[in-house]
Amino acid sequence: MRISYFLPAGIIDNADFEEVGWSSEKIFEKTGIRQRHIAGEDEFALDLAAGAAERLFREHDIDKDRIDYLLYCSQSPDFTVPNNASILQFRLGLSKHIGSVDFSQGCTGFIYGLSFAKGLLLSDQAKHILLVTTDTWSKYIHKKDRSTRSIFGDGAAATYLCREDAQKIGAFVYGTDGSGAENLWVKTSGLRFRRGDTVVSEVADGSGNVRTEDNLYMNGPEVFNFSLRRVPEAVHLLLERAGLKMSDIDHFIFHQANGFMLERLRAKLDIPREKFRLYLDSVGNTVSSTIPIVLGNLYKENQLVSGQRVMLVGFGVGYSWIATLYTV
Amino acid sequence: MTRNDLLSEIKSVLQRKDDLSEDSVIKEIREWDSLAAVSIISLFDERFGVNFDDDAFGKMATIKDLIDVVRDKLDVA
Repeated sequence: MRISYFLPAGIIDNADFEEVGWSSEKIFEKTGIRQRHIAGEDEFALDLAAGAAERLFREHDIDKDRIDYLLYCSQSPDFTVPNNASILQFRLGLSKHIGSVDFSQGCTGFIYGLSFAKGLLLSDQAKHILLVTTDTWSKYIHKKDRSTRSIFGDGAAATYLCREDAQKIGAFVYGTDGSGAENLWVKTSGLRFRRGDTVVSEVADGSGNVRTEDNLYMNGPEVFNFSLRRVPEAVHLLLERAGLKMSDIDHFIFHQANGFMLERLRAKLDIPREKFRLYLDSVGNTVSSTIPIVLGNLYKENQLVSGQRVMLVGFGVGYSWIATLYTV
Repeated sequence: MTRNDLLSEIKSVLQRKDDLSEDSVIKEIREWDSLAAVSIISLFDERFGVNFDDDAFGKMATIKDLIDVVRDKLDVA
């Protein structure tokens, strides 16, 4: 598969948080993140998506007229009506004779995209797929909420897949648990809790983080607890389904949630550091794009050798979790 | 590990300067924020392979409640 990604130019460094009284070093220690890219006021998910797609066509010499299916993943969409994929089709000047659909997933978005692509390609419904993941969660986040502001970054990734790629995508493990919905959500993000004219009130939590119901809320401990329970289980189930052992895997790429959680998962699963791929200190948690960004970098640095096995694991908002194997 | 050992570990993870007893009320512990909770979850996972039930922290009042989660795995002092 071919991957490119695009990050907005705006950057928030840990040092920028010092002015609100947060320790730069402590943030790095707890999250593994030093910088995150943040979309400008007039910059939205579609803009990042177009940036990633145009870069993909250019960097990998892909003829955009051949794209016959567009998969668009975002949980910070410019629009809910119409879908954003249609708008991106127009903006990129893709053929009009294509399928296009939005789907809503966060941390599991890229791997879900692979699962759809595999199905479409192997059933001959599509030959040249453009999968886009794009998020601007910064726009949901209250500037006085350290729990989320220190972690999330904006970004988009564009991936080209053809039949040959689909054949290299292996078994899948899926998981869904909606009882965790309220532990990582934007309460008013849809119609159900949309306000009329009532004023939105700011609330401070026990740790001094401030937010309203229009902002992203994340219950860190609960989400961490969920991840520790479900991720190892998914990893072992996937290996069992594929008839493989941990030592058969050459690269592990987990959703880059935050450094502390990743390290705990790595240690718990006893994954050697050199196989456990990380890239978040300069981009933060870009939600649906964390995994393709890591993969894209590995390809660029020639660290992926043909025949190697890569395990991809996504987990988070929903709750949702997913894992797959990819053979380079 | 005894209950007392675990109490010391909890105190250390919280980076707490004052004393801590099993009767300490979680909500009143100054150092208990979501980062501390995450560290506690990590400690229990690493030491005992124990995962908390959903909303477990919501139901706990004191440090004793926390230690009781793993009471079957602790040595009698």
